Amino acid sequence: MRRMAGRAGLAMGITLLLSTALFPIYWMLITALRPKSVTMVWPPRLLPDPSALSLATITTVVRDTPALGWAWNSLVIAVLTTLAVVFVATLAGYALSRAQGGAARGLGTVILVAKMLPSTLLVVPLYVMFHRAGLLGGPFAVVLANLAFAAPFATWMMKGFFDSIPPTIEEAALLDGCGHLGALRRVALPLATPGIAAVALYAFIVAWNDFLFARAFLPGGAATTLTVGATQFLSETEMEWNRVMAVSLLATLPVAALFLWLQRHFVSGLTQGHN
Amino acid sequence: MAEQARPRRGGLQAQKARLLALCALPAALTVLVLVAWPIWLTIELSLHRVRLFDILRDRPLAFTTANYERLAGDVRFWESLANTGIFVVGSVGLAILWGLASALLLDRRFPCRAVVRLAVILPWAVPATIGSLVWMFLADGHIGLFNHMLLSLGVIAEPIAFLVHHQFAMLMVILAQAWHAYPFFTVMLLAALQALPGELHDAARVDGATSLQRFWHITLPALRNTLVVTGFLAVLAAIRDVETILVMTGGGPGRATETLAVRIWNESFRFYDVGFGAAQGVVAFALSLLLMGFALRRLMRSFWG
Repeated sequence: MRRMAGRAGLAMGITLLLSTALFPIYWMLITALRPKSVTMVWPPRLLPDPSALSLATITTVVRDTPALGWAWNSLVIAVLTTLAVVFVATLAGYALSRAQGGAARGLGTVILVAKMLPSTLLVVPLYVMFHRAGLLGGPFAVVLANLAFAAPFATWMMKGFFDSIPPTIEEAALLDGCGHLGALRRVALPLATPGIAAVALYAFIVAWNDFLFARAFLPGGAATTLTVGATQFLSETEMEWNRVMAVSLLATLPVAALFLWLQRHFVSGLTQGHN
Repeated sequence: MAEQARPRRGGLQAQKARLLALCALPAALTVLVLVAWPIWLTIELSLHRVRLFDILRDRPLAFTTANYERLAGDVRFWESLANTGIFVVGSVGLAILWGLASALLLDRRFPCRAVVRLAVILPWAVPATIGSLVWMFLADGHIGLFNHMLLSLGVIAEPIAFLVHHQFAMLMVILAQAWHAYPFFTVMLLAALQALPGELHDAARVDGATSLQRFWHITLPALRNTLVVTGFLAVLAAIRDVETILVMTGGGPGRATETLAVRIWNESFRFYDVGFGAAQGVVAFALSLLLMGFALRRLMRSFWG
């Protein structure tokens, strides 16, 4: 009897958990696939009418609004950020993992503090710096800001991965006459590939999801990213919820797909950094 | 032989040190140029009378301490501090409870566990801005689903425009933030739970401990370290987070949801008073440093192993 009650409680808890987790996602999906006439109706219809679902809103958004351009901007910024973060964090993670002494500890502490700084603080001074450097309005301003935001945590993750690779393997390569650079390139880096994948995924998601930097440094209108673009259909006079949700869906699909595909690496990378 | 070997070893050591220094260089430059320099610039801007247009037209700036004097007497600033407290405690508290409950449930055995686990942490894969837009739609005063649900359950008699209502607006941004933040706790706490040896629970059960006692005396102490570290990181994230609030309410209605981070944004990019915004940025920076001071030792230990 108690066992039955326990099972029922478990089932109820999991149902509750699943519905709170998934309902907003379901609502986004269903709104993006419905015509405007159904969305604006009161009372709202919880369940979809299968025959009324279509990709019409999405095709309209792609054709009549700058959504494709936003997606392209998001992609360019995310890819460039990923490359920059992987480069910086992999090398720094290796250095912090293998070096002993005060300088490494100092840099590690600074990176740890930088990881925790409020990024809002950086927006205004970076705006001034990018204006002076002539970068304002271009993708590189957003890429650099994302790099500043993502590199510290990525370095922390990479250090964790290199820590799990015993230095003795590299020493064996040294004895074989590899040289330190060779040991890094031929031994440590290939062994750290799962870590690099996790860091790349993290950097890509941070840059793709960024709203603040794109909003501050890009001019807006057609020249912005998907996350900022999605908010542009909301005005005082009209709330274009179908279009908002269609663009939201476009912004969510790539990261959700990446997340589902690589979640194992991502999750292990996260838990590694904190153990 | 030994005499000859030593300089060679020293050469190798020096080569290794050079390589490691070279490896650390890009990160050092990143931190210096993109973190340290902006912080310095914030301090400098806060000591000048400077509006956004002055920067864009490269006008010379006038030195002043007026920004800080204004800050002390500014009601909006103190309100924003209070709002930050409510938002951070509310959203992180809710996310921890949500994450803890989900981790405990997902640690149990049931069919399709892997799929359910993935589904429960799926909000994580939705960009924060997009999640906020969906919650905004759900909370809409005209066609929002929350109104429909509450009306049909008889909880409310008339639809409420949640996001333009002084108390409900804060509740809504807290809910949206927590929805996005809890999967992080689910993942971290679940990992900690799975590292916990099952024999402990079995032994306690044999000794006649109730499930509540087992949770209190075995599970919770085992999770303490993870809870402290993740909770601390989430608090810092919630302090700096502006996206949820900026998208859903912009800090409104009035100033009901204007946290310090949103205030800095509004001051600089809506009222164009960069100097005053920077002064508040310096205060936010000092507050974060203070908070970090408490936790840095602990985090340092988990970083250096």
